[in-house]
Amino acid sequence: MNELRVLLVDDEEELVATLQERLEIRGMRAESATSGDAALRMVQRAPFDVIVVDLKMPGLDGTKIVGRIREQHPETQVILITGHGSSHGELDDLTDRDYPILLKPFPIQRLVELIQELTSGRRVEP
Amino acid sequence: VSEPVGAPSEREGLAFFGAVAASVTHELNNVLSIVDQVSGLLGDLVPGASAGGTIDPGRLATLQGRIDRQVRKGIEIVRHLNNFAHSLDEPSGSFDAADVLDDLMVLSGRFAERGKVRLQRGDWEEWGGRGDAFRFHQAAFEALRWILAESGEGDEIEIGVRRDGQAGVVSISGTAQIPDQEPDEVLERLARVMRVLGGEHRISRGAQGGTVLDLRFPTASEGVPPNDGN
Repeated sequence: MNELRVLLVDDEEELVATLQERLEIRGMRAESATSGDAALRMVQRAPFDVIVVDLKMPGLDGTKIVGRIREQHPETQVILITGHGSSHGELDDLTDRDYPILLKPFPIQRLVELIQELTSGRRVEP
Repeated sequence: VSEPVGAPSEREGLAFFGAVAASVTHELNNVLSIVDQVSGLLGDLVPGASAGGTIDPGRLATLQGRIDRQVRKGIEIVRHLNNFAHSLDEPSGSFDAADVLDDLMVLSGRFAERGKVRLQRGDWEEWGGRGDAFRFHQAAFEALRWILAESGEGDEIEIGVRRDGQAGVVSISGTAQIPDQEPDEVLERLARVMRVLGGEHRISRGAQGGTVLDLRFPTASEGVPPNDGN
């Protein structure tokens, strides 16, 4: 079975732990990190198909993490998540919108669909 | 009622209110997101249990603990936000300075976390302020924001409140060494707010070479005339 490898990065530990379990129930191999530095170390050990990363975190924020990971693994797909209350205005300044953004709270199904869309051709095994 | 010359503009007050609201919204979105996902995970586990499987009680306890912690965090944030929102009710009343700063520390926590700066309490004496509690909030917020802007990962900021003779002092001290500089936009805004409150601010060097920003206010016992700036 060709499981998708997904890395969840958010300083809210209970969020990434829960998302990790939910993605695993849906047949993915999910791992989680609560800081940008930890995420970079994990990516160096083995690449991921998709990283799901919070835009605003202490230290390295989402866009910086994505930049560094994509330097090493340009094939890695990216989904940004944020607790920012708006999908307009300031968010456009935070990212060049190369990557899809999910506003928290978001349904798990939307995250799964996005992962599948971004990795089409390597769809999750049922 | 007209604004005194040099008073902070209504827009500045709204901008401050907006900054706090945005930060709190962000925090509450995180809280709701975790509760939502844990609830969803419990829902994911139900079909297996319904089909005759079992759910590990330890796992259930872990998930219940996650929900409980987030609900409590949400309640705490909303309580402080409610206090903050009511600071607009009586622009010429009196307030407990320590309570106001307690609200501010919770509501501003996200700004410090983002910079990996540790925010902690220093001296914490109760004293009564008189005047505009919202502007008092704003003064402390601007002072905190000024030091935060110059602080980086690993720095610490201590917020204290104490009486000093006839004055009440809010002291915000950071380990970051901020070089002497011309007042920037934040300090100019702070000066305008302090003027309205009948107080003043002073920047000095801390014991370890860090930076201390003291805000001195008249206390309620002095019978300071209420602010007429709003």
